Amino acid sequence: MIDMKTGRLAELALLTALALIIFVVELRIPDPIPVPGVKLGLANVVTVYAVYHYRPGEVFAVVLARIILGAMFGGSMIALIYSLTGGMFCLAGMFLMKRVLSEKCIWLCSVFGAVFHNTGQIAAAVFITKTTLVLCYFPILIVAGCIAGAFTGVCAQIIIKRGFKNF
Amino acid sequence: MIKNDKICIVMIICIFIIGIAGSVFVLRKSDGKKAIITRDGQELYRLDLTEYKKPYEIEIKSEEGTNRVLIENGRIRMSYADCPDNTCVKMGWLNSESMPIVCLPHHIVIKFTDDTDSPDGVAGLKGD
Repeated sequence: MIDMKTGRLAELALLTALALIIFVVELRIPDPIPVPGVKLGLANVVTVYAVYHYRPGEVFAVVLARIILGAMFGGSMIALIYSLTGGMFCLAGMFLMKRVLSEKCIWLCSVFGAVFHNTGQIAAAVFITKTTLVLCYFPILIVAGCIAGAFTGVCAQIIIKRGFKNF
Repeated sequence: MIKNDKICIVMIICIFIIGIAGSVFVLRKSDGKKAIITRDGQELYRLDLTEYKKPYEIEIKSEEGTNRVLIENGRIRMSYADCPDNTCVKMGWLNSESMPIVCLPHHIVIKFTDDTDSPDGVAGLKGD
């Protein structure tokens, strides 16, 4: 990470800022379904884009910075642990699926990312609340995650196909 | 690679269908009349909802924050939470057998319980 070129660093910073703006704007949209953890996750568009254009370490840094800064801006520091676990699961899942899937199925990579994200969130919730009760949310999160993941994935695929390599 | 895509699409469709089936199962209505409130897996209150004819509010304080639980006409809901997302308040009345109301920031869970004998008889005795 030390020998990172300045241009690349600037690109990553720009991506982080972009993801953060999307995240903050999305906070203003009321929750469609009153279930904890259900949201559109538009900032995921940036993550999917980054997964296909940057190295795992760099994407990891972008997502980590976005989640921590997002928690500060969003004012929910307590929810940080859920988004952090979910985000890391999501990244791991997406890098895994990127190797399996072809370029035509970037949206599918995002769907898998969303499912992994929900799995991570629920795992963190079980660990923190010390009850298996929160597992009841899992099927709802999976359904919502699949839909939201497909939507953000299609957005990311369109962006990648348009070739926005240089901003 | 195209073969992998197809396998993955089938996989995600299966996950999606299982998710829908699970959601239908989880969201089925309950006519339970006894509810318990827990924090960090520890029981705080055990309530017989039919005992409360008038609206009754319980305040739960912890170092994480404050929640208020409202019981009225045999129903129970979270009426106030000082967390930023307020999802537990938006969830409204507890009406599902298996899906509890959860306040994730404060680790508080409200759910129906079906056992008939309450260990301490008096509602709210275990509150701190």
